[in-house]
Amino acid sequence: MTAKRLSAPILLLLPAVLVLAAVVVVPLSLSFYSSFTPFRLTRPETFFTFIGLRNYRNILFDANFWWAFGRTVLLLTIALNLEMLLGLGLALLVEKASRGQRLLRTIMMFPMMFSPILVGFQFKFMFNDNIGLVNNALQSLGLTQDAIPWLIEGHLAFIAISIAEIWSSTSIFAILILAGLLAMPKEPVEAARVDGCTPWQTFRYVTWPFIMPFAYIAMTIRSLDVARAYDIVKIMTDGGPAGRTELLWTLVARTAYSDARMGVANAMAYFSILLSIVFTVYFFRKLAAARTQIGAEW
Amino acid sequence: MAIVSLKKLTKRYGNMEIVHGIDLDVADREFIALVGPSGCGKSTTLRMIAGLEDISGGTIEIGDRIVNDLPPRSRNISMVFQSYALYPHMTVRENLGFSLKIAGAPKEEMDRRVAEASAILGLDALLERRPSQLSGGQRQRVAMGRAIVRDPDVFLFDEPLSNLDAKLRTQMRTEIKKLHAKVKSTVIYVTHDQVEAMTLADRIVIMRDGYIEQVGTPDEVFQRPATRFVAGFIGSPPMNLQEATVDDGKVVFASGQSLPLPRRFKARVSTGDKVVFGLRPDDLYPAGHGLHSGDAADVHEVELPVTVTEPLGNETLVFADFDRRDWVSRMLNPKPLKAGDRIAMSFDLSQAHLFSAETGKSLRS
Amino acid sequence: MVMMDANASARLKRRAATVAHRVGLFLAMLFICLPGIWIVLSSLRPTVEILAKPPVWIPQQVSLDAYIAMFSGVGKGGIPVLDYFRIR
Repeated sequence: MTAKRLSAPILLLLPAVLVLAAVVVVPLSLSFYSSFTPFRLTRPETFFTFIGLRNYRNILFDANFWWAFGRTVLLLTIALNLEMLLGLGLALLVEKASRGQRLLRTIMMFPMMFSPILVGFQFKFMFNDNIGLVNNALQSLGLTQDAIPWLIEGHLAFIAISIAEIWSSTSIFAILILAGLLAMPKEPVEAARVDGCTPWQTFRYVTWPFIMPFAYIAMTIRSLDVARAYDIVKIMTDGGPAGRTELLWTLVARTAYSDARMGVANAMAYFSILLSIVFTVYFFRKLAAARTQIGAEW
Repeated sequence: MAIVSLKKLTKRYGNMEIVHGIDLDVADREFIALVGPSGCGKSTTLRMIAGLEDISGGTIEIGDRIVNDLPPRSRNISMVFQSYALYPHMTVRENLGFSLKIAGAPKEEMDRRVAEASAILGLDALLERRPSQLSGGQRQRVAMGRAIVRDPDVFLFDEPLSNLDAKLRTQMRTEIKKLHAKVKSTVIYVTHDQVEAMTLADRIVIMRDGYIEQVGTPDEVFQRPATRFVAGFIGSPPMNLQEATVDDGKVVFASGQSLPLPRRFKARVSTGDKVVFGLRPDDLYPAGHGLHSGDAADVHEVELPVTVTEPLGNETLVFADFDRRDWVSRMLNPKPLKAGDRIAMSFDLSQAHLFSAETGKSLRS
Repeated sequence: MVMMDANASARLKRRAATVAHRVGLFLAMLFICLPGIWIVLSSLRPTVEILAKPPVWIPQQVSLDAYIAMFSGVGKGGIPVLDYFRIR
């Protein structure tokens, strides 16, 4: 019997491959498998009942799931657009500053140093209807006499969550766009000014095409982030009031752990990943197009 | 088509003054070159004229209009940058037509003017390409095309040829000259290359440390440099310059060697004056191997040892030791020479220059 | 009425742009810093002041109560801070 010896590269890679398989591939396949079972944490034997696509079919007809799905897309749209605009504005403001730019950059990245859990608590405190900063300010300025129920009314709660989300992540846009602005050659801008452009035209026709790729990179990162938004919502409203701020992943977590319906939860999770994939592909396409357009060499 | 006039133009960054109140009048359709070593303020001056830098003092007039604080777009100028500064996301055609599009010109006029510019510069085959698909020379041509499409009052060139290789530079130099002959407008051209300035400009402005040293035609600055700096800067190979003391009708150098005081300076200096003696390589040549103008009595012969020779074919640069320093001489009609040979050198003193050692100013009237 | 020439109005426009830039930058930085500042300020106030109606904007008295409570151990309104840094 001649045992074929494994070649050195394979042998050397084997430990890493085994570890990766153990911590990534096995759980992934198990969870993927369990999405085809009626697995409940309380009844372990259900793990072995195969029910095919029934979980997926149930999800498709589950109004709660679609509401959460829609809300996540809505949050994504609102947050990404506003963060884009605000981040762009912030980057332009900081880039134009002639003095103290280093300090401004540090302050600008301040929100990125906060963990999402902390951001959640912070904004929960600020939006508190009784003692929160926001209501206190509105009342002191005489804009209203009432205590606005920020986290108690559905729409307001969604707005509050969006604000927290935007506050914590505008910096990502700002820092990436600022990097683009600093990397950009100054001469085309000067040429445009001489060619007769107003500041707005200079931005529109010269600066913007240059920084567009950077904006798309930020978009990609953030779309993945928001599509799996969990911590801030969990802390601020926990999906409430009455499920009015339930997002995909708070719903998944609730189904999995509170309701103990692991099988359904995994089915939802795999379905939700589609959303992330769609956005990533979309923004990467845009990024590639924008890069070719400016003839980027990176 | 316009005059440009700078009056007491000053630029300060904080406490550092970069340009010290310069005055300059550029006539309509004149080609002016600003030349000087790096850091002399020539580019800053150009950028102030363009409106890309704020001015700290004085006035800038373009075509009878004071434009001190106007943004670049209100000055009706166009500019060619050292790094070409093309818009990378636009085709050559879009690059050329961009300023017209911004100005809201009608489509037909835009097409016509782009076609004109592209014909003048030979860009027809490249119109649909992107800048990244062009060579350096082609990019430079597009940059110039973008400038002429506008029909501006003044063209500003900021070292446009310094990113090109030597051969292409010579070729583009000729093209710029032809272009100016065709387009006929006021040009202000910044360069650190005195050859470029000499070959292109109607008048040259030599700048140093934020001051104007001399303004004059290429002939004037070459024949009658106003200062020691200009004498050393203009001309290639550079003028031989050596410090000396005037002593009773002689110019005495540090080593004790001396030359007769050139006749035309006799009334201008007296014994004991510290001077700088200057003689161009063309006016110092092995006896019988130069072109000399003027009176034969002005030619002074000295026998000197050769240290190095640089044969160039039609002429040879001979370095000869005088006053313990190499003096460059241009030998026309070369004959073989080697280091160590002693030869009779002719100093054509009618062409010599004397500068005050103290102020650097020329001592001729 | 004073006639303004083009240079003066360009100068004025530029000055206005500078002011707008400064104000914008200040507001942006304020928006970024405010939540953090508010949290830190709140941590240094006595509970009465936090709950006060109408609100007290500038802390009247600085109190380290919250920090003391945090370290005073379970059962006295604190959390087992040190336990989090223990390996076993």
